[in-house]
Order: sequence, then C-alpha cells, then structure tokens
Amino acid sequence: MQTGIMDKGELQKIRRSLTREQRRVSARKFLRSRLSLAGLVIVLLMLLLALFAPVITSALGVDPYKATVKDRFLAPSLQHLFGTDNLGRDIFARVIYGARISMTVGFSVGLVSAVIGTTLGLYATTSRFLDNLLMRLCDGLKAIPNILLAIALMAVLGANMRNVIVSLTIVSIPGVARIARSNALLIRESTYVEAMRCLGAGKHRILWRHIAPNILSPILVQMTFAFASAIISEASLSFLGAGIPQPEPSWGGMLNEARSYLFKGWWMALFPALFTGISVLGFNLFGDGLRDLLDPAAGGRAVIK
Amino acid sequence: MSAQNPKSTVLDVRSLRTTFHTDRGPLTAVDGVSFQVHRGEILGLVGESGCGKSVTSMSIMRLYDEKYTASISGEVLLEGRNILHIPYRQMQRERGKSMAMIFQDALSSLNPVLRISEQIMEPLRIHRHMGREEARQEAIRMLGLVGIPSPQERIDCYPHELSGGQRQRVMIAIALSCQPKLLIADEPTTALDVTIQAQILDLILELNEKMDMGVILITHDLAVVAQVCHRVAVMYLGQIVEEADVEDLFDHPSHPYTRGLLQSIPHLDGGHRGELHQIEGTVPLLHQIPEGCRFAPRCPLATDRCRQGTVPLQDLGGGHMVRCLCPQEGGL
Repeated sequence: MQTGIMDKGELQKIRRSLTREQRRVSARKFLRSRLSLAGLVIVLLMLLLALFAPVITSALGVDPYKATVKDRFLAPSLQHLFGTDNLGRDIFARVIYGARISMTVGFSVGLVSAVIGTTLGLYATTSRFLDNLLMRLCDGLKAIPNILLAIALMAVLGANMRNVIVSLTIVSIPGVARIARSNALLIRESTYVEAMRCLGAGKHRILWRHIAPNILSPILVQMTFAFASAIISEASLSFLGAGIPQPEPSWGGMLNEARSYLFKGWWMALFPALFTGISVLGFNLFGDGLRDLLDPAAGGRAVIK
Repeated sequence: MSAQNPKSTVLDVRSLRTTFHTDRGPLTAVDGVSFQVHRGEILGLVGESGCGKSVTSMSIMRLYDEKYTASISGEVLLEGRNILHIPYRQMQRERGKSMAMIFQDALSSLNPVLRISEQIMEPLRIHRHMGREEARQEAIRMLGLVGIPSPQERIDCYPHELSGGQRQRVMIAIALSCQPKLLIADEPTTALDVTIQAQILDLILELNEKMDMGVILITHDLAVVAQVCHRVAVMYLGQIVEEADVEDLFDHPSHPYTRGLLQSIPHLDGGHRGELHQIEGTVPLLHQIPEGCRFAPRCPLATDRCRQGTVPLQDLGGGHMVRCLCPQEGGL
C-alpha cells in the first residue's frame, strides 16, 4: 500500500470505515438469519423483564409476594394478566420476578463456569500430569447425570440461590474446560506461539495473552449454552424442591405448586412453563447464531489451515 | 570473511545430538553436529528436507520438550556459556534477548488477534523492562529499521492488514528488538515470492552488518546461500558433510553430495545439458541409517571402504572440512 503519499488522518479514516464495514457485514449476517434474530429478541426481552421487574409490577399495581385469600384461582384477566395462584398471588408479577432469578442464575453460572473452565482448560495443556488429572476429573463429573449431581450438591450445600449457582457452575465447568482445552491444544501448535516461546515469553503470558484471546469465540458460544441449560436446571431443581425455596418466585418452584391444581387453575402451570421454554429456546437460538457468526468455516473470516 | 580473520565466536556447537523418543524407538535426527558462528557472520545451513537443519536450530533454542519429546546432548556455547544444561527459566531469559529466531511461515508467525504494536513491544517489556510508552517508541523505531513505510501508522495494524513480506519484516523487527547476539532464520523466505525474497535477504544482510550479530540461515536454496552467506555447512542425514567459506564451497565442492546439489541447479544458459541433473536414489529413513558413509548408497564414487566404519570430518585446509574418504578436487 502506498502509505507514503497518504496523510495520517486519511489513512485512519479508511481504516475506521473498513472496520465499520466489517462489523456491519457481521451484524447483517447475524440478523439475516431469522432464527438468531428471534433468539436475540427473546434474550433481550427476558433481560429487560428481569431488569425492570419491580418497575413493571408497581406500574401494574401487583405484587409477587402479597397473598390475597379472596382472590385465589382467578383466571387471567386485565387486572391479573396471568391470573392468580392458590394463595391469591399475581402470577404475572411472580413470573417476571422469576425471570430475575433465572437470569441471575443463568448469567452467573455462564460467566463463572466460563472463567473457571477456561482456566482449567488452558492449564491442562501445560503438563501431561495436569492434563490427565483435570480431564479425568471432568470425565468423572460428566459420568454422573447433571441433574443428579446438582441435586446431590444441593443436598450437601443447602437450598438457597447462591448454592444453586455454585452447584450448577460445578456441573457446567467440565464442558467449558474440554472446549477450552481442545482449542488451546490447537493454538498451542501454531507458529506464533512457537515464535513467542522463542522470544522468551513465559508459560502464563503465552496462555493468557496469546492463546486465550484466540479461543474466546468457542468459549463465548459455550457460555450461551451453559446459560440456557442453567435456566432449565435451576427450574428442575426448584421443581424438585432442591432449588430456590419458597416463597421466592422461581419458575420451577411455581410449577411445583401448580402440580396440585392443574384442573383448578391451569394458568398456574402454563405461564411459568411457557417462560422457561421460551427463554431456553431464545438462548439456544442466540448461541447457534453466535456460533455461525464466529465459526471460521462458515465463511467471513480467514480459515486457519 | 575467512577463518583466518579472528572474530569473536558467538555460538559454538559441539557434537550436538538430538534423539527423538518415538513409538518406534529412538530416532537420532541430529548426530554429532559441530559448527561455529562468529560475530557479523552469516552461516548457511543447507540440505534437503529432513536432513536435520531445523531440528538443529530448534535444539539450539531448546524448544523441544526435553522430558517427553527429545533428548539433546553435546554442548551449545553461547558466548562461551553452555546453554544446553542451564535451568529452563534461565533459558527462557536467554531466548529473545541473546538469541532469537524467525520462521519460514511469515503468514502465521504473528498472533492474528493482537495488534503488531503489542507483539513488538512484548519482548521489549519482557527483557528490557521498558514502560509502555518507551516500548512503543522503540517498536516504531524497529519497524522503521526493517523498512516498513510510515511506521507510526502501521504499528497499530493487525497482522491481516499487512502483506506477507511486511509480516516477515515485522517478525524480523520482533526478533531483533532486544539486539540478540545470534539470529536463527529458518527458511525465512520460503513462503514469499521471489522479489520479496530478495528484499528480505538484503534486509537480513544489512542488519547483520549493522548490528554485528551472528546469523544462522537455514535454507535449501543454494542461490540464497550464494547471495548472503559467508560460510556454509551442508547437512545430510543429521550430519554435516561439508563446511567451508562460501566461495571455496562453490568453487571447490569436495563432497559428492555437495557436488550433486550444485549440479542440480538449473542453468539458464546451460541448455546443452538438456536434462536436469539429479542425485540418484532417495534419502534413507532415519531408522535405517546406512553403515559407514551415510551417503554411500547414493554416491556414484562409493567403494567398499566407504561402507565400513564411520567417516570422520577431515580438514582440507583453510577451514574447509569434508566428511568423505575420497574428496573431489577442482570445480564442477
């Protein structure tokens, strides 16, 4: 390129517009797929609902905790959008407060398991002993069905929200660790890592500064899936009574209560179930879209040979 | 440059031996290689694929996992200190500071997700403990030194925004940023096209003089050797078979293998020869190394004597060493 005849400002302008163009192409590719767009919309909607739950409920004049005995089993109406439950609590308010719990659990589990899993996966590549130790541990964790393991951990730790996050994080670490490890092994063999070793870079510098950014996209995708499965697992735990205790409005817990009143108030079961299903679907679609976007084989990025 | 000219020795490799642990047993890829590199000297390491050129350089840098992959013996003296047996951490401090390496694949030797500024600053920050701003200024200076136009602007590029030749220049800038005493260039021009190749070689030659460092240039291209090297070592099956000053080697190749290599170069004007010369046979596999002279099975001049016992390197005078029982005389 003839940079000599261009002044600095002009060059930077071209660079900036190229970068912007690249981003626009990526964004367009993501939005063109209707499914990933739907996923994005659902994810954003759920996050907004969770974030503004107190604002929305107070605007509608409903309360997720207030039991009004005379208002038991009211069918959905303008006053109670999703009806009321066996204690006369507003189900709409409880569902969007439930979104807060689900999103908090999903986000915490996704983030923490991504950080810990990536760390384990990266360090597994540094020595055969560590690799064997960590990966056999992961195998061991994977051998137990996720929900059983989570229930066992909850039984030991005691039922509250923090422990739900802890036990679901433990359950989803092996998946992230495996993905981080296999991608890190690939990057480790690349010439630029060899070149960095030749320059005297230490183990930690190579792992965190040179390998970690290169494996970020599969980790990110795995994170969205961990998010979705944490929502389901939290609901299952709460449904089984091993999760977040009453009267906190967890979707799983609400389903558990609704179990006895399916004929008296079907709406008690319908709405929490619908929200659980839709948000899990949303996160999975979003994750799929993200994967297509970040996957080099899908085009748009240089393919690593 | 000749051996008579007493220049201080940067690197002294003595009977280097690298054995890989493989599933089929040990495999000795480098078997008793010795050579010296002096300040301001470019040593060409020549040979066909699989002769142990790269393994030699990787062994000198100690880039193999010494526990699982390979065991290395012999001595590698870097300015008189044997670096083959110093602790790993200490070795890590030497790499990049007193010895650096550039690779053949310029396109993939830069980290695609980091700006080149970060990558040039890295060794400066590791070894010379520079602050960000100081390292950045030095990085810009290095980029200018290796001939990148308007380095102030290019420094914040990502690798994919540069051409192959520019990327190799950046690699050279990174390798030389801490002013190493020794630069190992492992086929630095293979992935580049011919005009860029010449530019990069000129750059290495120029920096070699400017910074007065020793350079090991690994190549299979004799034209490259003729263009830039002062001394040449020819390798065959893990051994050096001939070593001489560059003029001496091209004028009086003594080992039949060297002569074969030189004859295999196509001549633009040599149309009358018609067919291209080739060395008969193929390189034996490393786990079936022939007894006696390793080149004997392919050598047109081999006698029974060649097939018995090992053949030592002999000095023909003037620093011209050859591993042959009946070294040839005269030009081609």
